[in-house]
Amino acid sequence: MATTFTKIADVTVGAGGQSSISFTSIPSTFTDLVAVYSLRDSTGAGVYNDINITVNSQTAAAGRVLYTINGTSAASYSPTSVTVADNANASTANTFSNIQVYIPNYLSTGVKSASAEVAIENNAAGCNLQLDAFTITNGAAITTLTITALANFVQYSTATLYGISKS
Amino acid sequence: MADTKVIVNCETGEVTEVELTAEEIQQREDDRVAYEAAEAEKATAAALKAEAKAGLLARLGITAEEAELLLA
Repeated sequence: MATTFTKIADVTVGAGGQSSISFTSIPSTFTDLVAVYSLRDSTGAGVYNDINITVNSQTAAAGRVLYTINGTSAASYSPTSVTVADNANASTANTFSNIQVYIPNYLSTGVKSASAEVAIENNAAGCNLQLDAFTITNGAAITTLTITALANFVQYSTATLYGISKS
Repeated sequence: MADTKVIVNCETGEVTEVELTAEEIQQREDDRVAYEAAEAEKATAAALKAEAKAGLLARLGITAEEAELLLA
């Protein structure tokens, strides 16, 4: 059970956009990490784009993404990276995706797990909800997290990193 | 305006905007083209499958709901 939930850092994308958002030098004083994103991409003909999170410098991961579009029967696929999604340029104007990534035991030097919840907002067909699970084979504590847009994250996209301490 | 990425140093709180290198811009473009091609391929496959399903139902003379009942 989490006993503290502390904001480590946050950033809001300014005019002109950013192609990626990185948190570096993540402190080793917590037990778990939670990254919360509100993102919209400057490209994409559909409602959403699949985008990747790089852990330290590593993109590869094993995972399973369960998703439902418009509340239809759930489907799934197995990405080979930590894959989430952001609102594409063709989605309803000014809507942003909600993404939360939870990484327990991020200081482990063994295989780490991560889970994510993703909501793509759209005032029409194409709403997408995702539940994701990943394993990250990386022999080091996590010190860097980078999320990369398909093109650019637009202005007012945000990213916040929290640390959780357990007793 | 130059393409940039943002880096937040959690230790110092410093937020830095870094210009993308030519290689990074090319990689991003390659990734975008590959992703959009894969998505288009998936959409085409889904449309073909839906078309085949509709044709089959028409030949059988039943609705999708009736087909679901048969398979339940």
